[in-house]
Amino acid sequence: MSSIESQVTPKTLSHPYRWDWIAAILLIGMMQSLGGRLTATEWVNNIEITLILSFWGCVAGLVLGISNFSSLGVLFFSSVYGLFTISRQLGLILGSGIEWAERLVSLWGRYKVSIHAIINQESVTDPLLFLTIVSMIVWVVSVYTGVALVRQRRVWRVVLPGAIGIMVINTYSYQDDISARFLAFYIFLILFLVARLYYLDRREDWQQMRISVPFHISFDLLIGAVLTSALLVIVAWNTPTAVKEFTSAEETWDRIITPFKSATDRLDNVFAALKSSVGFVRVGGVKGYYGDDIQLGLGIPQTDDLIFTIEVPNILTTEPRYYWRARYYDSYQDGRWTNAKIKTQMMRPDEFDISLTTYNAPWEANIKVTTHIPLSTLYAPSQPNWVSRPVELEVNPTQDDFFEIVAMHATPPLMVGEVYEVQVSRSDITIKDLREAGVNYPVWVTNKYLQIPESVGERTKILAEQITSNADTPFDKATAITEYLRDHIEYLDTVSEPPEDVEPIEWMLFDSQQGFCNYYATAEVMMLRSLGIPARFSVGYSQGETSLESAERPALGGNIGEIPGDFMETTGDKIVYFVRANNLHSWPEVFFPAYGWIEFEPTANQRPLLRPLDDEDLDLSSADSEGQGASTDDRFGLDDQLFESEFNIPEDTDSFIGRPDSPIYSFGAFIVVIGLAAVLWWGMRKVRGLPPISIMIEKKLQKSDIPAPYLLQKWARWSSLSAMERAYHSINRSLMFLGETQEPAASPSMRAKSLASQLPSSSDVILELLMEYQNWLYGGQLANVRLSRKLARSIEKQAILEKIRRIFSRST
Amino acid sequence: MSTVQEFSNLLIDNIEKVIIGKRSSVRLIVMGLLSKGHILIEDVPGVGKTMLARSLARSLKCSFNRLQFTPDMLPSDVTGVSIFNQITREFEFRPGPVMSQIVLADEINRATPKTQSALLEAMQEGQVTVDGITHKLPSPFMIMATQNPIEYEGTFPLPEAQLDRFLLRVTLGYPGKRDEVRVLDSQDHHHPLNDLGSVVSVDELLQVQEEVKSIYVAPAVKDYIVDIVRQTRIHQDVYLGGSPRSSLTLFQVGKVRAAMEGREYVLPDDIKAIVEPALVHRIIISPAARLRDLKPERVLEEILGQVPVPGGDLFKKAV
Repeated sequence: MSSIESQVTPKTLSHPYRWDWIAAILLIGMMQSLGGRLTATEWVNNIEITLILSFWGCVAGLVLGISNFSSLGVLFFSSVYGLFTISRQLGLILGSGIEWAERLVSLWGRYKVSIHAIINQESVTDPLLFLTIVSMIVWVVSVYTGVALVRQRRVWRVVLPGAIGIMVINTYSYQDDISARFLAFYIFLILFLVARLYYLDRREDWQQMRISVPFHISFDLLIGAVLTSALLVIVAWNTPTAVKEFTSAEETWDRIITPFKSATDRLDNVFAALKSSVGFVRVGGVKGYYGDDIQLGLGIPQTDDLIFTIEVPNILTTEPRYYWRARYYDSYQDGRWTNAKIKTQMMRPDEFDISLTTYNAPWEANIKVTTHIPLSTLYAPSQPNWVSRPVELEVNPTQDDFFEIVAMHATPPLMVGEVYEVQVSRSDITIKDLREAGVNYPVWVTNKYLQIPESVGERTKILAEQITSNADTPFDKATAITEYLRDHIEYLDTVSEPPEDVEPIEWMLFDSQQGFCNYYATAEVMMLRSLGIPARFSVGYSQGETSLESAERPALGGNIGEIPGDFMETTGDKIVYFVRANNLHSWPEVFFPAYGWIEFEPTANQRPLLRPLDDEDLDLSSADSEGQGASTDDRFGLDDQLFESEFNIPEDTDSFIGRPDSPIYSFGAFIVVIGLAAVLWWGMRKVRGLPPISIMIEKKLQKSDIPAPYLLQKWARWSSLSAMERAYHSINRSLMFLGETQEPAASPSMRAKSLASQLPSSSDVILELLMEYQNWLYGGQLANVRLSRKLARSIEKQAILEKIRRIFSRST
Repeated sequence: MSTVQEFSNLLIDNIEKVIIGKRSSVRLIVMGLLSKGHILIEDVPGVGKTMLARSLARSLKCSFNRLQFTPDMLPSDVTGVSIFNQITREFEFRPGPVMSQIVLADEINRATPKTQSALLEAMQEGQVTVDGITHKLPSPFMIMATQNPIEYEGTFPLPEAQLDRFLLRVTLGYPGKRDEVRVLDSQDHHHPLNDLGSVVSVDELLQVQEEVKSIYVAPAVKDYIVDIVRQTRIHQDVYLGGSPRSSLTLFQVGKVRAAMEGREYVLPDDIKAIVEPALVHRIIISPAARLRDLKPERVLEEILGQVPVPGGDLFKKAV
């Protein structure tokens, strides 16, 4: 790619550059004020990246301007570099220490969600799309002005884009003094730059006329320019503004935009992230944040909105089901769970150095979570070891310098569509293991997890002892309590408020005998603790349904949103769980020495949590990997009826494009990219007068002495034809189609007459088209393209019909 | 309907009352008239060349003269002489036969080159110079010269440079059988020429000649004209191709033809129609081709079949 530019315009050769470093610095300053103005709007978080982008864009523009690249080359390199820089900056806002692949995946996920929202005419809550668009505009403007400063001789091309930018920003975000300050600064720089460039221009002339300019004069001129610019700006700012004119201008503007109201309404959706901006983007607006206390509450019915999808490697075939834990609590008092002595610690994925208490857990697995709502607290199945996001960890000290993770809060929070990974340790625990675990509890466990408030009295303890009278081991006791709660407490979405002076748990156990998961779990924890078995209260989501099940199993009815995921046999290497708002759950976790915290399921609307009896069971089930549900059900004594009645698949009412992760989005993105490229190409053609792509390819081939393929030649020829010629070509095409070849020397009228004799029925149409074409081509008259196209279509249609007619008449 | 079309139709219809069945030739002659050019009629005797010229003159109410060329004719026999007037004691110019609006120069190739050139100067300059005094020829001025293509004995064939000055070369040819019968019928009692009245005036003619100039010629058509003429220059069987004046002729006559068709612009078809009369007398066939008895008409036909029409076949690039 040679520098065609400079060869074509000898003027540029004689004065290669009409700029100097002062002009370049002024330009950078101008672009910085554009970025600064944007930052000052505080439209979205992280908008300050525009400052960085405007700087590097400007530098890139200047460098590309100096380079020998043709405009096409400049465009190419600035786009590539811009793409790189913008994605880098956007990736960086996700926080430090994350792997780059993950950053890109997260950004991509967020884009998909935003585009999905736009398509469905919903509000886009994620500011990312806006930030991206703004970044791109800033990048384009700063690169363009950089190139323009070096290569163009017109100052307005350098100063106008940024000025328009600042004006537009001021229109949308009018902050009295900030707007004025940035605009004033920008205009000052403009004046200064104009003065500088004018001086440089003069200097060239002086040099040509052999007038020597001493250095101090140029310095004086510089100072003069600064002072004049400053003076002008100050004078302009202090001139009283005619307020009346502004109001009338506003009215005019209103009149202009009224017809576009519907279009702007739709656009508003795209930028909804801004309107709700300041509050939403910050942590407070993000759902799913569990603080350090929780009330048992009265219950709120939940929707079936998707919260997140979780991808789990399918290696734990006999694992009991997953509980997506947000956090756990250790202290209970009057219907309120809290944590005692929590430490917080910031963690980055690449420096995740914290000593965690480990248990007998041979499996390590990476679990991938895709968010469908903004998330602050990250969810993970039990024993997370590492997470791929920077997080604020809440930890409980155990012993020596070891800790247990209470909760993980992502900083910054995750937006919709982002992805995080959690590494967890799991084990195949059997009932036999748990029975043999013993009661040798460490001190840190007994210190913290046997706490019972005084308000929970003897009654509960007696009830617990009654229930567990036949049980020997802690596991059997926990199982007995679980069974008791499942059998005796009625599940209700919402409960009425317990009386003032009554402990809510006792009231539930002995009086109302109704409740939801929080009550079940708290009751179990309290009863276990009263028996000296350490237990704690965990919150989060239950497993949700899997992609596999919803695809393979028929809906069986029933009303409870849980699917048997236990002992699932799958053929794929991954299982995807869809977790919805109505999977919100809480459950007790019981401590077993060497095995750690084990979940139990006392809530009646959930399926019972079943574990394999012993190692034999484990072997059996893994050997029987082809086995059907029935055999495993039998083995574990699962009641078929229970199974069926609780087995429910929420109907997938989403449309084809309903899910942001459906392939149509990737395809759509591809189309959008192609479309953008086409628009870009078209624009370049218009601006630079480039020939159509086919002709460019043909020329390239010709240059390298490769004969262009016939089809390419035809394409090139076709793309160089005008609309009228294309319409007229229908006559030639029809002639060819009807098997009549014409010499190149045949004039259009000869061809038309020949076709008219072949198609007597449409001879009028043919002659009309001929007239249009001749009037245009030979008569120099304006073409009626629309009419001609219509005529051409009709002719071609007639030709095809005629051809068909001939085929049939020949065969009969 | 444009006035040019009206005018030419009136004229042609009128002439056709006398010259039966030769509409295309008559049209060509009218084209020559409207292009302010001169016509070379090449044909055997007795097909109505003189009648054609006379009926044209009558239809226009123009002055008409006939010049029968013989080898002993002198230039002054064409242009006129200055005679000493005894009474006024001055030389007086006696105009020759060329000093009329329509001149029929019969068998032009029988005159000596000297006499021929006197006529040709008049054709080209629109004036004659006798004894150093220049006399302007009347307007409109049109010469219709005839040549006999059969008899060459005792003739002085016109040099190419002079043939080039004739705008069109027209042949009449024998009439068809029916037409010939109609000729007999029409002359049963008296010659129809005697009944022929004028249908258009000289003023109208001049006006129409101006009007023709406004006809539009698209760049594509100009290209086509030049393509054709250039092709005559590189054709292997052609010894001497068309001059730029040939291109100019196609350009002018093309405009006239378009106007006569009632069109405001020239089509390639107009050019195609006039290539033969406009070029056939201007190209010289190479000796080898002449031995094969190749006629220039045939060469032009071949060229017309080769040169692509711009805007015709869009997928073939022009030569």
